[in-house]
Amino acid sequence: MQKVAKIIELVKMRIKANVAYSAFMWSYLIVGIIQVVIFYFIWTAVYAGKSSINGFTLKQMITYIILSRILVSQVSWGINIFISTKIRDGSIATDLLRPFDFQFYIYLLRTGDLLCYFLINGIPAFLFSIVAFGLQAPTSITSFVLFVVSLLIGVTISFFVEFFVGVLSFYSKNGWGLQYTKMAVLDFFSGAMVPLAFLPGWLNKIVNLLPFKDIIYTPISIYMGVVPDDQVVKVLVRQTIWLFALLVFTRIFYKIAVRKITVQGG
Amino acid sequence: MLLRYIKIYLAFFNQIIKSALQYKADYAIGICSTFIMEISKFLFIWVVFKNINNIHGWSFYEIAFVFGVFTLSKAFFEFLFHNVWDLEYFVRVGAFDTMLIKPVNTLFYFCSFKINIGAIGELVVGFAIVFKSLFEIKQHVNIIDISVLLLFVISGAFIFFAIIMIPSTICFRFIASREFVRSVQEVGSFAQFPLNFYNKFIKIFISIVLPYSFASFYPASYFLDKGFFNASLLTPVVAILLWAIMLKIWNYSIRNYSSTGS
Amino acid sequence: MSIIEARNLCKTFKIAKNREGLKGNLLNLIKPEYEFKKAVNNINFKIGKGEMVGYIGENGAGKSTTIKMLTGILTPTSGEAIINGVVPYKNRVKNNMQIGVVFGQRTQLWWDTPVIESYKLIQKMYEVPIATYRKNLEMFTELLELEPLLSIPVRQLSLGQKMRCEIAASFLHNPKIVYLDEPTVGLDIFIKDKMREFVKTVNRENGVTVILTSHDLRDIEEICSRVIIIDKGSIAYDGSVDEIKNSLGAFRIIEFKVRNINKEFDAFVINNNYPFSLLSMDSYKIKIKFDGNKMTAANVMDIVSQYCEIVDITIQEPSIESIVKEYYKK
Repeated sequence: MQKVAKIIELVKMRIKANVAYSAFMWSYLIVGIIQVVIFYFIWTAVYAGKSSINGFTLKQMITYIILSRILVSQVSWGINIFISTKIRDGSIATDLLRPFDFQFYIYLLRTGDLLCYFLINGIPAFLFSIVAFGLQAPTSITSFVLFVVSLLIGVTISFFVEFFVGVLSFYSKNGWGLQYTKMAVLDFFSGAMVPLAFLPGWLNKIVNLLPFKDIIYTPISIYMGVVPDDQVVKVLVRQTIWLFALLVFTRIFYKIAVRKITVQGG
Repeated sequence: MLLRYIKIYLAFFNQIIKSALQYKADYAIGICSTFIMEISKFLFIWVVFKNINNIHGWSFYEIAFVFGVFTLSKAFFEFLFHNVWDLEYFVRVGAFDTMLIKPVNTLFYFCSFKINIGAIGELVVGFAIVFKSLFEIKQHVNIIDISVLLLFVISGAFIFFAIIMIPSTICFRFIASREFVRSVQEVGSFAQFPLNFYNKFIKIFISIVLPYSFASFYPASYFLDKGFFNASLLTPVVAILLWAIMLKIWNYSIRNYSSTGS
Repeated sequence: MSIIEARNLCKTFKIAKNREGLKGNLLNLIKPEYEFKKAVNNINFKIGKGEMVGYIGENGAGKSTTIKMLTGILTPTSGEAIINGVVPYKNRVKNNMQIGVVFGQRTQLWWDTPVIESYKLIQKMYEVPIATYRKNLEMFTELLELEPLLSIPVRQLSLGQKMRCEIAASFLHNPKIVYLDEPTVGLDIFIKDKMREFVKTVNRENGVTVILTSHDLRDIEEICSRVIIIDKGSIAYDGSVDEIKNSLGAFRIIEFKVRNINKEFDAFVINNNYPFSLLSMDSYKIKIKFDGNKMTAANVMDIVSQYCEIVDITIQEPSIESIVKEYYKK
């Protein structure tokens, strides 16, 4: 019971820290809005005279980009910069010495970030978009519930990717370089930039081999009913498999990296 | 006097390159990451055009050209003037004081003592897109075209710098300027695509209020036959005008500078 | 003809009041309220060529503000500063050519490059004739033992090494005036000594005028012949170092850790003729101030030990704050 209380306390503290930095949240919101507006105009121009492309109508495309921008915002920043900053200023040492699993600790912080984001940015933006931009409602209650499940799995997959990138900073001082690369890779391969149905076949094959599409594309396609009902379970299972694969991979990688710095004393 | 400043700038530049060569690994990652970032942005256009073949009469290479001019101008801005992002930090920790006592113009020193080597990745992508699209659009590209293009791109870099620097000077008075400037920067992304796609409000906003279009669409129009040829010639003029405004604000900020610490 | 002239210098800061809470933050943005802080209030002094002047005061007294006006970083609210005929905040570049500055906590050198490269850039920026540059470099390298440091990037230097390079850098281009703002913070006695010798030598050889602010009075005593004390924005004293040292700076403070204090001690302190006074006392500690010109610490110890058992002793040098207090008492 005490452990649960500690966990809740940690997450609450993280939320408070986020809220204190409210200027940052505001700029993130504005940046997100600008991106949605740009995409709105571009796609409207693309769809001129066409009713549907690749099975997406314009309305569906608008829904897609609004949802993907809302979701990708909290993934874009991620927890890797936090980790690489700690490595650079040396405060990582105290964290590693704690009798608390480091990865789980970072996961809790990330959860705090997530909750804060959804409460302040994500959910308001979602509701506002339904009213103001005609964001399409989910096709059914079940698809919404499954969407949320898929979303949570997707965010956890993103967490593992961010954790991996953060731990990479044990090997390289250039945390920002890694961040930009991560942002670029995720933005494209997760489907945040363009629905993956738009990619040429050969590229789609590569995308399907990677876990990134399960972060953005998979949850949204469940929401929008792109995935036929009988396939949904299959898709969720695939997501979960990736989640566990990444869990194992990142833990092993982390153990190796920590051994390296404790040996070198860097 | 100009000669003196050029000599000093070259001495700084030399030194920066020398020390960059000493920390190759760090810079290599930076260069690769900006390269990947810009490619990824361009991939959006590429993917869209895998599914259609023109947008409002604009072909792939025409849109790519506008995008390329934007990217290349921004790349030069990030390469030469990256320090504008650190202004808030320098003022906050008091490092700005040391710039005020150097025997050269403060703005000059602020812009020249560090160069963002990482932006080379962006420059490469920008050059690639611009020149490939240009050669696809225009059958015969001569030396005048290239000179005009370079003039426009350098003007574009100066335009970016002025647009970012003006709101950044808020940091002399307030904190949290960084977030505000980040928003101003994001508005520039509208200018990556031809103006025709947007509504009147946005067109006016990114042509007059935050004239990002003069770093992409208008200069590109010189080479396309989509109109706005005369506007394209205004590009260097807009750059000079913006710098005049920026200098006034900068000098005002320094005159009223209050420094930090006891 | 003075090389530095401060005439009725005033600087008032307009500080925005920061109100707490959500409502407060909103008010801060919409209807900001200001308060005015007068940091420097009518400062007047003249400094001649080649003088070495100490400029001291408590934290917040207006020292840094004055120096920043003299160096052109701040523009005075009223009054003027004239540095060798140049108004620093109007003709910044021209003034910067003729001055050197060391800020105690901040570096002027390029972070990632070897020290010698920073020096070469200084030579280029200040247009120092090669012969002068070489002569100074040689002299400074010898005086401050810079030889092993020149090829090392600044980021790898310890504080002591960095400050030696910094102070050399500030004199390198033969400036007419050098401002040293807390140059010895955090340095050990050996390096401080070297730096003091260096400043005196360069002043002798090159005739550089030096303005020094420091919280270590020894720096002032060793280097300066004249000292200006600033307190709450105004000049409290402007005169020779010797005079103030003898009249005010001679006292020392001793703190004794004690046991078994004899009750008579109280009465003794009040009734005696010794030139010391009791600052504070409880069952474990006694703090005494005495005149260093008239007694020694050993004397005081002898006397105190008659009334209690001394466990430990700490002797404190007079601080700027205490000197200023002393000055006002007189």
